[in-house]
Amino acid sequence: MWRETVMLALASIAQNRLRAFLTTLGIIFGVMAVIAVVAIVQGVFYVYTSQLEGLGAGFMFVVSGNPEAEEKIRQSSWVTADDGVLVEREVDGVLAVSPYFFDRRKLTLRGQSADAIIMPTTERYPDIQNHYVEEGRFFTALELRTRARVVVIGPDLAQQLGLMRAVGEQVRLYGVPFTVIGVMEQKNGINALGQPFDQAAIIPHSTALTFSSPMRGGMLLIKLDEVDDVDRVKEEVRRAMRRGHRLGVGEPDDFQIITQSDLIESVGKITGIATWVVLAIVGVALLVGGIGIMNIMLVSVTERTREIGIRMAVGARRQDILAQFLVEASLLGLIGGLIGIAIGYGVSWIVTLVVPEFPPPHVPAWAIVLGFVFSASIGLIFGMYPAARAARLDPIEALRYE
Amino acid sequence: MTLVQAQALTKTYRMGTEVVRALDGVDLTIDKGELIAIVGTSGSGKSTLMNLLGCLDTPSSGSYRLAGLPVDQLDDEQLAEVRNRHIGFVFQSFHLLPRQSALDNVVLPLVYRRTDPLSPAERKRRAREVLEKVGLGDRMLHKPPELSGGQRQRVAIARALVNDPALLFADEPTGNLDSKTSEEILALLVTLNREHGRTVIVVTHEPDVARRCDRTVQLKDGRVVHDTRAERTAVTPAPGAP
Repeated sequence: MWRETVMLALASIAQNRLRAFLTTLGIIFGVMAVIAVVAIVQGVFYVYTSQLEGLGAGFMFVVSGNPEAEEKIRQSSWVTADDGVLVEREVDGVLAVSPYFFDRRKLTLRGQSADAIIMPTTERYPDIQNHYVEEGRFFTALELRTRARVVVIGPDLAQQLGLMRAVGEQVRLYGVPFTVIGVMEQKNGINALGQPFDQAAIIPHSTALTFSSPMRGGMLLIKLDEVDDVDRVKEEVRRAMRRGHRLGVGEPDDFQIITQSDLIESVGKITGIATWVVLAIVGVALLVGGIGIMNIMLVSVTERTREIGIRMAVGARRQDILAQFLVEASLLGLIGGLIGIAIGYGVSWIVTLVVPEFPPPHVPAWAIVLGFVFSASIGLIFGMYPAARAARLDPIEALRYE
Repeated sequence: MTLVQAQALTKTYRMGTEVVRALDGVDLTIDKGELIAIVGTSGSGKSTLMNLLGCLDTPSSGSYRLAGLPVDQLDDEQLAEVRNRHIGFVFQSFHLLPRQSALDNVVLPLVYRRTDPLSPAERKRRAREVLEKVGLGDRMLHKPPELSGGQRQRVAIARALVNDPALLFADEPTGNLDSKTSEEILALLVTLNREHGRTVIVVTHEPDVARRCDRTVQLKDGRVVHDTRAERTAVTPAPGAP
């Protein structure tokens, strides 16, 4: 019986292909939007998460200011290189600490110029960030101490300057010449400060301080010895920082310590919010799609009044008629959902291919299941009224219907 | 053996403020194996009587037993079951599903058969068998629009017969057919009665059709005015035969 009902519904849909397609457009767009957005958002999440994981779990950083503090905090106490020295000296289990900030400047070479993200740091940076030199070398502790005017550039920057062999070139930065001593390996995505890795010009921290001041943007990158030591080290870094900043009892922290898992959590929160907002919007689209299905099913019931009468005359029960139209409406929704899933996946791939550096889409199984269940139940719910109308028909009236 | 037993069957409709008695206390007993015509002018109540006897409708009052079943006390679902297993309908305008083949049209009642259901293969086998019996063995996969009026009515008869019902209703079965085809269809109905013992009720306003039946029940204003039995006529009248 179910087999017949499904075959019958499919045949009926097939007889009105164009109409069925137009009817399900609402569902198609709704499900398409769900899949595309979820794929894109999840793709971004996936890439960010894997990048953050690339930092290594035993990683944390300290930033200036504390958005969670309720009292006013002292304005002058930024996170500085001195804090880095202090933390490295006083906290057990810290492998390396590097001060860090960023500054946007133009970097020029023989009239060519490119926007660089200046990333002042120390010689410990490659180990802390798991980001190494591809060509040439990184600067040394000696160069840091002597405020050498050397720079290690990201691969994108090298490309923008048209440098095939960058090492040894003299570039101008802050109006003075710097020697390019290395090119970093390709590391797509953004660093802890939200800046693209491959656009960076990494220079010694001490050198940078002679030209610019980190102010609020100063931070420390901290690499731990042991991965599972995060909580203890976090607490000890906090104590060391409070001592360094001479914070009294009861005074709030004027800095914030962020671990890798904090970061992953916050990225997850943002993508989660984005996903839910989109799902809400899509709910409206699916509602419209459902009304479309209801509309066309009502038309279909009217058109097939005589058929319903015939079926009843030969022994169809009201529930058989109900099932027939409910199955048809659900199948309409389901087919719309299927097409929507396919198009949505396609759209997310197109976005990936068209937008440079956009991460590939990632469609989780739950999104597909959700798309299916949603579209079929939209069909089912909005098919109820038309199906009930069909089932309530009086067989004699229905047979007489012209 | 009594097949149909109707007593004081009454059906009233409300039309605005007026109550219309479409059927007004009809008593009717039909035995198994009868070939009976229900005649009357338009508005006489013959369609209403057929709808009640065919379990498409329920009476306002009165009792109706079909093959021992108290039909007037059954609910919608049980009525559907009775229509499926005990009754076959042949309509004036055929009432076939136009997009389905003759075979699928005939299979339809078997699809809705719930007590001892048949496998899809068995349904097809039975439908083919009945189609062959009504002389459409070579047209089974044609759709109704590709068939002539007479062929369509044969498909409808096959559909009515496929569940082997006790009672076959034919509502103006020749109303949309030319005289030659009408004769063939009538002959088929008569054969079903004579040779297979099928109880056949023909609802008609054509005297020619009624004359072919053994018994004629005439309705007027919702009441039975005549109930006459004729001598058994031959399967085919042979004018000029020795």
